[in-house]
Amino acid sequence: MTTGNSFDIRIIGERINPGFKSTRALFDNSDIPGIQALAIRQVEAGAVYLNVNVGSQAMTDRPFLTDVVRAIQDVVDVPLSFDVPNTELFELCLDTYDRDAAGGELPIVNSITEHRWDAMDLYREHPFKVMVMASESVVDGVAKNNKTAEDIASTARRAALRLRDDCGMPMDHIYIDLSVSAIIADTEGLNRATLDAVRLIGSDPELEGLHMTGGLSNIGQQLPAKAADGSDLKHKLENAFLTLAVPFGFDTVLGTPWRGYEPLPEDDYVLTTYRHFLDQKGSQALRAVRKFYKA
Amino acid sequence: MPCTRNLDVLKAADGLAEGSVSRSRLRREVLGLARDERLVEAAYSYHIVALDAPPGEWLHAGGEAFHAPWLLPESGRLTALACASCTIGAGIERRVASLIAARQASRALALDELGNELLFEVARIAQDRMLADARRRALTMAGELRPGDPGLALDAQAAVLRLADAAAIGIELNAGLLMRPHKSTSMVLGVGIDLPPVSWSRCQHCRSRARCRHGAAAAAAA
Repeated sequence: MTTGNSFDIRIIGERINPGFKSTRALFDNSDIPGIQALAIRQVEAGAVYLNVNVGSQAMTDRPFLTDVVRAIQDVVDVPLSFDVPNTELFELCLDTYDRDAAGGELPIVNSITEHRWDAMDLYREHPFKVMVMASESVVDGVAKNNKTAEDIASTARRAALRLRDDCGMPMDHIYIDLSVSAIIADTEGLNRATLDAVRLIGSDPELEGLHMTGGLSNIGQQLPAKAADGSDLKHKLENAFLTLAVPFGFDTVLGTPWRGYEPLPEDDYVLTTYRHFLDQKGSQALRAVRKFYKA
Repeated sequence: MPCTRNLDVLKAADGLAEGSVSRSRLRREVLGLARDERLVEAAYSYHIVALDAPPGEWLHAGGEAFHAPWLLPESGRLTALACASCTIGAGIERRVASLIAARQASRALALDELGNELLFEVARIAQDRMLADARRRALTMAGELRPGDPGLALDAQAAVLRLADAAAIGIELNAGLLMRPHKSTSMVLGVGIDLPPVSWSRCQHCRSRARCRHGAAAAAAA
């Protein structure tokens, strides 16, 4: 287990999520001590928040969801982030959450979008911090996926100012979730757009104090384990993204605390290849992806 | 002294291993055999035992003494030892013997391998339970030794089993220090205040380390 992240970032532990095969087995077996141990290991490895996602079981087995929340808080004192599919379940999580057990810290509602804003109705009764997905916006009443840096940044700005002005939420209680796409299918320049959006949001004086975050585990999906230089490709890609994003204000990772995130040197093979990839689109982007693992 | 019996580890085993088509088929077959014939009686017991004296080269706990300097932390304070015993019962080993007698070696080996996986799973569950228990007492846990591995001599086995109350789950030790049921294991972990993660592993000197499927599975899960 690698620990020690040398970026100046905060980690929201992502492992309590059935997307991880080993965690799914814990859920399937209602293995509460196993889930507790997973929570402890993430905190010991440096997580400052723990994201809780029990998958579809949350819809069918609400006592299990509340048992998981209580069990985690029984053994760790970091605040939780709740990733559930609807407002009713957010309310259940917020009702169950013991703020005192988390040193008085607020939980995070993960997440809202411009077209899924109804969780904010809970804010007055149950204060929380919030994660806003900037990858989706509403245009003429219709939800759409943002594909340019400008659209992502303007969605983030609109949402942050709305939270500040309508709800009185402090800027540092807002986490903008920037979608980090899998490069293997990124022929539209989505990685480039996300990184440019980080720069735009990070340089907006009205948004000072706001956090930028994202899950990194998608970036290397379906790629071979090793890069052409023999290094761990998926891990290097995560670090390549962070190397370019952290200096502009990307300060929180929804990730695995023991991954050991660290900046890559300028001449690192994967970072150099990632920079080249970011300048490509269409079939050129697909060709650029091959360079990661074929010398 | 927590003691848990009748763990349903077969359910967990459904998702544990992958492999070639023929290997998967054989595995499904022996899983069915284990389930239908109720061959698994998984159980664990453990006890977090306070040290009787300040930690040193020898660790004294519960009236026993262990020569286990690997457990001495680089920082923090070791205050207790977590001793655990785990078993899946004798059903699988008996059935393996009967399959060998019936000249069904492939099935026997597959069932034996399944037994090992299940025992690993019981040990994982016991460790998770101890970790949660230690944390509730505001303690940390670090380092794992098993009698017979580098770092803890085999003759510590009797003391570990006694402190873990292994007899409560039917584990016995014979004069040759062999556990019965054979598919049983025991372990000792350090418990204390602000213990840092250890830089060693009980597997680090193992000759099978490079090709060990259990080690690879643990690494993949991380």
